Amino acid sequence: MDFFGQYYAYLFFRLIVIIGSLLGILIGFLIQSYKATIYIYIGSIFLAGLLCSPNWPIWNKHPLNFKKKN
Amino acid sequence: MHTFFQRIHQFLGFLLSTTIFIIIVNSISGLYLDDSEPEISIQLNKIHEFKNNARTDRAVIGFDLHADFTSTFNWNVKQIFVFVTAEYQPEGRGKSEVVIWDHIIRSKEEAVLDLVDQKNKYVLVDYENDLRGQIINLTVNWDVMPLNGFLRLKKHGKTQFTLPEKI
Repeated sequence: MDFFGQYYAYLFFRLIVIIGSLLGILIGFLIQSYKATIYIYIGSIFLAGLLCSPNWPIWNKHPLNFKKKN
Repeated sequence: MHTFFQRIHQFLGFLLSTTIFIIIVNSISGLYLDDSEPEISIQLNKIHEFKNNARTDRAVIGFDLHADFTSTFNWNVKQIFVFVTAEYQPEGRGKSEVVIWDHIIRSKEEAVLDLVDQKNKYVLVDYENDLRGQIINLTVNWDVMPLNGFLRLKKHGKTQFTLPEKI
């Protein structure tokens, strides 16, 4: 992962988990089931973890350009 | 953030805050959602047994209990612990409260209790032989046990009867 990739990976992880927890709270409250909340929340955690923890090629699009050796 | 395990570590640290957020929302909403009043009626069916055994007064009674706890269940409730107490006021002593029956309701499907002539699980005992001629109050108490947050104890459905003077 390059520096941009690290920044965006952490940002996307936080976004997905926050959206998942809010969606879980909303749906769980509407159908009055805490199980639904937890399943949606854990699902969003696994989705975000799978997307943002491994070193996928999408996180390597801004390689560092070192100065050429003279 | 540049290795796999560093990222996992950072993510787990962030998950702690979202988990706490969900728990706080759930526990606070449970306090405000829990305003339903279940239908409860309890009354004495008959006194099965009233004797002095091993120098203590013991009574076995049968009561009718009809209760519908369906409306109490929401997304915050794990189970409901229902117990029936017998309260009486012996002379020269403080008020006595004896738990004579209890039951755990685990789900919404089994939330309707319809009991006829239910004998007490735990014998109504008074160690000073003060049960004779005593006015007994039967009360239904229930503990709403939440998934997150505070335990809520409520009581309802009083009925009165008098035990016989003679054994």
